[in-house]
Amino acid sequence: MVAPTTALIICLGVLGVLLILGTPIFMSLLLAGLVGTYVFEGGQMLSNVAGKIAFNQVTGYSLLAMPMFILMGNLLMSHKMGDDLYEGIYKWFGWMPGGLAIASTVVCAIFGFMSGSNTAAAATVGSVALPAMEKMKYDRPLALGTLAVAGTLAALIPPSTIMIIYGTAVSDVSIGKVFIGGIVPGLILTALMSIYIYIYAVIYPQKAPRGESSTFKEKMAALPRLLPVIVLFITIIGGMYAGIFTAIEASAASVFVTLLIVIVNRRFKWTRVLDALLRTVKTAGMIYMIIIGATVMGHLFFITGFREVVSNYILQFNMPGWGTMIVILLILTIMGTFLDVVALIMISVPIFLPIAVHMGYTGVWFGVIMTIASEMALCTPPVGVNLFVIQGIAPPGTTLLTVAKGAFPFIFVIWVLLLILIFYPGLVTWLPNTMMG
Amino acid sequence: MKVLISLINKMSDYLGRISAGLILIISILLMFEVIMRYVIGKPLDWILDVTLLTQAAFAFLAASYVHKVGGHVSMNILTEYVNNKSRRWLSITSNILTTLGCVWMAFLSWNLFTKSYKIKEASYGVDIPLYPWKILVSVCFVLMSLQCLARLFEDIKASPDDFAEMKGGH
Repeated sequence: MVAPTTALIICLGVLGVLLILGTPIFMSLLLAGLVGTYVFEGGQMLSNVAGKIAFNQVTGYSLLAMPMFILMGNLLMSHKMGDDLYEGIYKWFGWMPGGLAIASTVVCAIFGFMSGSNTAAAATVGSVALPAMEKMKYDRPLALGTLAVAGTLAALIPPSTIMIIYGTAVSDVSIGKVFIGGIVPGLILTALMSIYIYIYAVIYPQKAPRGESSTFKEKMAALPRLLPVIVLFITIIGGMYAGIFTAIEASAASVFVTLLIVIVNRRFKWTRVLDALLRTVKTAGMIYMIIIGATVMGHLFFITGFREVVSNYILQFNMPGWGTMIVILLILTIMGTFLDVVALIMISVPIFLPIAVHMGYTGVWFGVIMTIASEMALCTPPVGVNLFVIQGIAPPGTTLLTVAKGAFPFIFVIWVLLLILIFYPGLVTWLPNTMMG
Repeated sequence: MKVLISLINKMSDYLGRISAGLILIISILLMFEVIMRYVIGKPLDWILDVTLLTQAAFAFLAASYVHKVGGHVSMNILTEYVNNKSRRWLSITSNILTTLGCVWMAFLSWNLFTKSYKIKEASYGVDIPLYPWKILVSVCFVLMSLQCLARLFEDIKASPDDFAEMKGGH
């Protein structure tokens, strides 16, 4: 048995060494938590809680939706449903300066309504948009960065896997409300990203040239390609809003509706379904294990009183609410560079949510803010998953640094959104309060 | 050894396919609950318990497959900057540490199963015995440690050149 501070130092030391050595994040968190708890409470206590934490975490009701929404995105991706959507949106935005990149951003946002997976969104849209941007001689970092960050819009626009994980970390926040709360910020971020690309393309036209323009008739003819989005939106958000089913049941319904859409579009193939299922096993399986590892570590933070120490430390400065939130977001931005988003949420939410609530913000608002912070984590090296997804589909020889370099300016765009939401929290809470009371 | 590694890999692949089937079962169960709620006017008691336990089975059985296909994310800072020989050693070290962590966790979770078995613990809703599900925690980490060992032996036998592509966060 050692003092709480010693246990925490040992835990964080073990975590740092394991992460640097390249041990999987879930195992780094798990081992750091186990070692810290062992030295603080002893072996007997550890054997009582370790298995219990693992079992309780994977039998959580709200987590049920996570694999379903990932599967929905993977089904759309493996059946190449993103291609039609991209071609349709390109007709509307392609003529603008930076038109291809703007169209990619808009498609990712729309794909967000059909998928809860940011990696599926980035991979689906990227595989169509990247060859087109290469052909048009787009600046490669801009093209790659746009796709990596635009893919994260799927995390903010409902349904969202990240919001479901947030729901696992907190007990008294409605996932449905957090879903709805993400719509307005998601649309604002889409607009901000598009404005940035537009300005960049006007200043450097050779780096982001205009695409072909389409006639009004061609534009109107492209609209039916948005039909799958509308159907899925009505199923998920409409179904929840009308009280037909919960967010978790909506996830299952969305899988069946997606299969129906694929069948109606005559693209259904069993091999593609199996491919989508195995991709889902890979992503969801990874998330479950990180949740277990992060919860074991979170348990140590709880029993050592670490959360209260951090909370009291931040609150002692008596900063206004907005100042405190900016400090918290700076900490989250730094944490997001070396932690996976799941670990980031599971570890930081129990620490920072009480502070946000103390400052007068709501759990729904903080869920959306946390999701936006996670978007940054998805695009910052060395653990930004979306960077790897885009690197995976980029031309051979593309380094992670090139993708990260392209994504970097968008981090500032995301920060602009965060500042807007800190000063105008109603932009998040108005829609869920209006729709769901 | 080659046969053993191949067997472990095949087992993980098989578990991946079982987990894929479990996702479908979860979605069918959830939809069935919605339909029955509207058809008979009340939810079926057993569905929630079965769905949650199926989720547990999915999470624990998928872990070794995820490891086999390199799905467990890691922060590979060092691998970006070192040569292939050092990358090989990093991979070996990481696999040893992961194996040890899995073995420790398998031992620790055994307590969960034995306690549950002694009192014949059952779920709240419809008395489904919980101990067969709780043993899955230990099973998961045993399977994971086997997959780690398979990866470890593959790494030991591989030449440093095989690690040229080992960059990034997966």
